Amino acid sequence: MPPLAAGTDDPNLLRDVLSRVRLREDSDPRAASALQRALRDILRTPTGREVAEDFVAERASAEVRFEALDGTLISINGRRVVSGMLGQARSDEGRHVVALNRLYLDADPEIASREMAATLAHELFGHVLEHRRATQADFPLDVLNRYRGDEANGRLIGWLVQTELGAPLSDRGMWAYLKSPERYHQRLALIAPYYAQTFSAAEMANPLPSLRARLADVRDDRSLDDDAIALRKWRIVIEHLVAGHGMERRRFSSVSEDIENFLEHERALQNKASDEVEEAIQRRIDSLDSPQGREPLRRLSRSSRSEYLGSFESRLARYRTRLDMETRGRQLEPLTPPPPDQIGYKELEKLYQDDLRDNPRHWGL
Amino acid sequence: MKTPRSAWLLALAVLTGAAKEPAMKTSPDPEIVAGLIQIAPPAGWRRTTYSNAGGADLVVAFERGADRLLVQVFGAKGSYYKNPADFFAGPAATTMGRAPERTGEATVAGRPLALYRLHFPLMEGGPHDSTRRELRMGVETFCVPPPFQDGRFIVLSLQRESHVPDPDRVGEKAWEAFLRGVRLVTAKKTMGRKS
Repeated sequence: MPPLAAGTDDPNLLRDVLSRVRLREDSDPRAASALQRALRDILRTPTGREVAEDFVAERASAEVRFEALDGTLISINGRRVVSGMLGQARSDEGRHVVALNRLYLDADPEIASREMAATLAHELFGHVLEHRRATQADFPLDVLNRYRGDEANGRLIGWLVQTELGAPLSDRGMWAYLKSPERYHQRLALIAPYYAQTFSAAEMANPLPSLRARLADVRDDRSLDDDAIALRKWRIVIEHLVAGHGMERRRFSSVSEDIENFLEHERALQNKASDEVEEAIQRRIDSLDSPQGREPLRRLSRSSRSEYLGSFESRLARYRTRLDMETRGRQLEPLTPPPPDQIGYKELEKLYQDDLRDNPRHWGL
Repeated sequence: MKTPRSAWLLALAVLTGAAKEPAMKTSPDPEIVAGLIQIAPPAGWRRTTYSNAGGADLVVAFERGADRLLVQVFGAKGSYYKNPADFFAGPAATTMGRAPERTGEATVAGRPLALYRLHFPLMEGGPHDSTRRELRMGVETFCVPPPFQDGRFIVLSLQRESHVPDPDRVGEKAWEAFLRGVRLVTAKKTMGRKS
C-alpha cells in the first residue's frame, strides 16, 4: 500500500492545540516557526489528528522548549541530520515539558521537519497525553513509569505519523516491533537499564519472577563473547583469502573495519551497558524484595488489573495493526547506501564455505 | 593455487576449540507444541516461551548464544496472522517489507517444504538512542508446513540475532537436526512435554 496521502491541516484543531501547547520564549526566531511547522505536519496525518483531538478533549497541556540535548549534527549524503537524543518529556514544577533537541534548528530543514513531527508526536501526544489520561483515571504515575507500553505508545504514534507523512521507513526499531512486539520488549530489557525495569501488564501482577528471569538472561548472555570469537575467525579467514588466494585487501575494508570496531571499542561499551542493566535489575529486585517493597508490589499488582491499563493495551494493539497495514507494500529505506565494491559478511561466508569445500587442506581438514 | 600453511590455521583451531560446547550427557524429552507437532529440543539450548497478540500467538524458542530455533503458532482465535498467505504478506515474513528469498527445500515430517530466508533489524541501543548507526541485520531461515484442520499453522525458524555469521555453522547444524526431528501429532500421540 502506498503511503497515505497526508491531508490538509485543520486550522481549528491547530488553534485548539496551540491554545494548550506553549513554546517557551526562545531567542532564536526559527523556534516558533519550526514548532508550528511540526504541528501542522502532525495534523496532516490521520493518526496525528486523532491523538491531537484526544489531547484537546482530555485538556492536556505542555510547554515545548528547544534545548541542548545530547547529540550532534552529522552529514549523511551531504545532508545534516541530528544524531543522538531527539527529544524528551518530563515534569517540571507540576507542568509537562517537552524538550526538542536544539540541533533540529540547524539540521537539513526537510529531514528535520519530518523527524521533528515524529518526535513531537511521540513526546506530546504519546507521553504527555497518556500522563493526563492516567491522572484522570487515578492510575498511579509511578506505575505508568514502570509500564513498558508507555514508551511503546509514544514510539507507535511517532512511527505512524512518520509513515503517514510518507517519510523514509528507516527506523530499525519500528520493523523489529512489527515483526514481534514481545521479542522487541525482551531485547530492550536486556540492553537498556530503564527498560530492564519496566513490565507488561501481565508481568506487573507479579514482577519479581520476571526480574529474576531477566537477571538470569543478562548473566547467561554470551552473545558478545560469541561474536568476538566469530569475528576473530573471520579476521583469520580474510587474511587467508588475501594471502592465499590473492584477493584485494581493500575489498574487505568495510568488514575489517566492523571487526576492529567491535573488538577494540564496541564490545567494551556493550559489556559496560550489560553490566549497568544487571546492576539496575539487581537493585530493583533488592528494593522490591524488601519490607519497603511490599507496598510498591501491591500497587503494581493492583494496577495490572485496572480498566485503564486494559484500554491502553487495546490501543497499542490497534496502533500495531494500523502501522502494519500502512507499511505493507513499503520497504526499508536506508539513509545510507552500502559501500560499493565491498565484500560483506554474506559474501565472505560464501567464500569461506566454498574454500572449505574445494580446498579442505587449507583449513587442516 | 598454493596451499597456505601458516599461523592462521593454528589460530583457527584454537578459536574453534574455544567455541565448543561441553558435551551434553542426555537429550531432552521430545516436546509437543500446542498439541500440533512434536519436536526434539536441541541438547544444551535454553528454552523459553512467550506470545504475541495478547497470548494468541505462541512462541517456543530454544536459544544458544545468538542462535534461536523457533516454533511459532498462528491462526488461532485472535491471532495476528489468520493464514499462511497473511503471514507471508506481513512483517514477520519479510525483510522489512521485501519478500523473503526462497533458498531451497527441506523434508519436514515426511513432506518437502520450501525454505525461505529473510533479514531482520537488530536492536542496538535503547529507543531514545537515535545515534545514526549502520543498519545491522540478523538472518532468519524459515518454513511453513500446511495449516492444520482447525486453521492453525506453524512457522519453524532458525534466527541468528547477530550480524556476524558463525563460521562453525552451529545453528544451521542444529536447525537441520531439529527439522529432522519434527513429527505431526496424531490423536494417539500424547507423550512428552506439552506447551
